[in-house]
Amino acid sequence: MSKEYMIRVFKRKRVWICLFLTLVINYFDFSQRSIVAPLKDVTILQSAFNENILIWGRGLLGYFLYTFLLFILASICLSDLISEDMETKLINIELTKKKKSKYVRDAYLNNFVIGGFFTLLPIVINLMLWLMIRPMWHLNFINSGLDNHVIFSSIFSKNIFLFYFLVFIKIFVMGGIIASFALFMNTKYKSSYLGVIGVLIIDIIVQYLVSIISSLTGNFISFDGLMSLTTDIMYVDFNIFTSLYLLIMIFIPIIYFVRFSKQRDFI
Amino acid sequence: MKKIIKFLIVALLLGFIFRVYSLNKTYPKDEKIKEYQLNEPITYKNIQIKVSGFKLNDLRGKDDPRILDVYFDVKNFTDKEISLYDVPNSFVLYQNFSNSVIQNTIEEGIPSDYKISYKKEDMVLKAKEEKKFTFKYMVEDYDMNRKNFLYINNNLYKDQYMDYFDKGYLFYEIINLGDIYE
Repeated sequence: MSKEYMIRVFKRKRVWICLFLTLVINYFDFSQRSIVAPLKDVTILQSAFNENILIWGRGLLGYFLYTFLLFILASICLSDLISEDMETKLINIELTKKKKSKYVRDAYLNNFVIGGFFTLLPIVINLMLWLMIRPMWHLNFINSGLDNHVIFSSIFSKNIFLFYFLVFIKIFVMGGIIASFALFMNTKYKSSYLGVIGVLIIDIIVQYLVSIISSLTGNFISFDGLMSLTTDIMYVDFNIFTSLYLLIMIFIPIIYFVRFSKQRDFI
Repeated sequence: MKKIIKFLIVALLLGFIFRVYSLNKTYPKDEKIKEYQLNEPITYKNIQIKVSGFKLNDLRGKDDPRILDVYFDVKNFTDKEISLYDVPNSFVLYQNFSNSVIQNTIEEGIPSDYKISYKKEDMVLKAKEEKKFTFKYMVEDYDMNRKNFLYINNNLYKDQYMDYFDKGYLFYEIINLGDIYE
């Protein structure tokens, strides 16, 4: 993460959209819950670690908004980087300073990190807010109210901080993947907003297609799109279809940018 | 402007740390688990409970959950009637996080799927009475790494629970079932 890109992100007005969406998601997560002091003697305890948006917030409005808004959060800040540079001819100045392959690689990596960061931001803020209301009980099999389908659930009972660290890394990487695909769409079609909504539309279409195919053929195909791979920490079925789709979403931008950095024609 | 933002962020973080610290001071951070084995009598103020065994019924297909019969001996010490019905979810079967409540108690008007099932009046123990129950639980598919145990609801030992709570512990009593798939 270089300083030049940091300044670029935080000088733009779009960063305020991200902060506003973070506020909206957290407002709707808290507005549907009662936040009185937790009960002491019930079986399932109200802890910050099981009451936040990822676990008990599933199915509430805040979580529902997050599943859609994360595509905007991931890609609105920096994913029109190359297309904007090409439009303002700033890329000509950049390319006098460094090689094109380095320029593209920097753009890809910085966009990945910024995308992951802003996808993760609402979740981290949410967990911090819950930590201010709920105690950090010692959670075990009995009082956490989870089930075995939670990914990393074996770590949850041993080290809860490691569990949240892993979950955050997962969300960060998925946010980065979404942002990279948005960068690819914006660069290819020379637009500054197509990628923001385009990845969401592609993801929804793919999920619908899979469910249509599975209902036509009569075989149930278990499939998770980018949406549920990012947010869902339960019932993620990482089978061949899901991993194939994820690999396609990762490698299309990479292949495109490798070829893009070898083109010499647009200066 | 930059300095003000930096100052605000640091102030917010300090406030957050102080709030989390002061909130967690009064709550327990550790746990104490008392583990009973099979056939070990568990004595409370007015009842005694013993789990004498269990049997796995592979009634349905492979993908469906199976049924585990657990045999309970419950004894009433006192001269008064005691109803197990008053303790909701008195014994819950856990397999790591997944859990199952007793399947064969019947609410009024709802037919039961099981041959042995208990109505509200069947769960009452008369004075000095000893009764045997067979409670049925749903079991998940085989997984060696899971810990299978029955959790005894803390309503049955609430005084002890609150004592330990004040000392900084969460107190639970469980009956370890070991490998239920044998």
